[in-house]
Amino acid sequence: MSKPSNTSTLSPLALGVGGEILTEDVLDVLGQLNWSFQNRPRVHISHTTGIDGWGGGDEISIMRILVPQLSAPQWAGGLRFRIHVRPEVESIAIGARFFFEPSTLDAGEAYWEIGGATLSSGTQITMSADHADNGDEIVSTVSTAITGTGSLLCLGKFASRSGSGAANFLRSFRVEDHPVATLPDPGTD
Amino acid sequence: MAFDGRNYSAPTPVSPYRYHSRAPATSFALSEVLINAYVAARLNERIVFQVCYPYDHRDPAFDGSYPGGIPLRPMTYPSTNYPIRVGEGFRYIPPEATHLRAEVHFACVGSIATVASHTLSARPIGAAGATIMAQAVATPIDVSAAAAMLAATGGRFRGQSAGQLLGAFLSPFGGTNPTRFSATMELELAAQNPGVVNEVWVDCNMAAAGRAGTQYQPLAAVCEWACKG
Repeated sequence: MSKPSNTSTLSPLALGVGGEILTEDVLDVLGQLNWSFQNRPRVHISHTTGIDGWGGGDEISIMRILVPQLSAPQWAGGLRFRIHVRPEVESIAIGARFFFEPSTLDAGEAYWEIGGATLSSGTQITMSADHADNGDEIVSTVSTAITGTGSLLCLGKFASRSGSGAANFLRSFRVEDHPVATLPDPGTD
Repeated sequence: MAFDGRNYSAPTPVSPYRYHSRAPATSFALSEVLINAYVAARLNERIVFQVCYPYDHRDPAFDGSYPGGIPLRPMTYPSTNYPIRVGEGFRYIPPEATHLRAEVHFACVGSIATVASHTLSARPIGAAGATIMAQAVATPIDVSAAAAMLAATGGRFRGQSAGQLLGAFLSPFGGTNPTRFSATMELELAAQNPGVVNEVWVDCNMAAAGRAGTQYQPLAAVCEWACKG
């Protein structure tokens, strides 16, 4: 029998004290429990970062994650943190919002290493962004079959691809789990 | 009647021993399990964004000029009519979420009285030109002239430890001692916000009168989604 997973329309007000339970009621509750389990993705980190004036006004700098002002692409370390991923998580999402100077049509790249998804293994998560993406968030996902689960070391590095704007920077970023698509079977200890 | 889990907020003490006997279970027991499922789901993983501004915890007016100090920009003030963006992030808002809550801790000192207010906004992404669907303004805070005392920054924020980040700056070190404040705000989501990724942000605005004589520095901010039934 497949595992039910759906929101319930069973109202507890319809369940009077001492009343009978129907099999379908039990399945409704089980479906609700499963759905709740699947749809509670964890946000591991969600930070606003940026340099002076990062919002276009008189903002004060926060983490000053700059995309290097270099004529040739060169990676510069920017972020290093650790997350803990539960074993049932199937994929992890990384979102980042950048600012690239529009007057000089600047563009850049970011790569993220999450656990086993590393540059050395060729499985790093790479993002590309340019001045046209300034208002949007760039999102990439990676499977936990690559990253692994448990305590994972994460790195974020950034490089310019074109343009030489001195004020290209990371504005905000987040790392979070995707909702679980398939319910895991009980594990054995 | 369709069940709305937001309307049931109390976790129920369901003990597995209670159901160990082979006696038939009643529907009341089942309703307890259902309520627990919703409550457990609602209490989890609520962060939307966090931001913590680096500065010298000994003296908020410090300009970073002596060795070992954390380089930072001195306090500033809104020099135009545009707001200062305090924090922002992108987050999928669960379908059962009804509100967003945000808390901003900031320091402020003024030579003339002014008013600082903070705004929390949420906008669903994906639709081109999507408009702000929900917006809330925190209670404006009066910044008195020549504020020299330390104000409590208590700002209790349920389920969030942002307050722990701020403990270090309760001790001043020389210089001007700006008054430190916290502003909280709660935003009721529109129908378009839940169930999709939203861009969420907090801005600070100051009244035109007295703005030029005021220095403002955000210290930390946090935002989370909430269910209120």
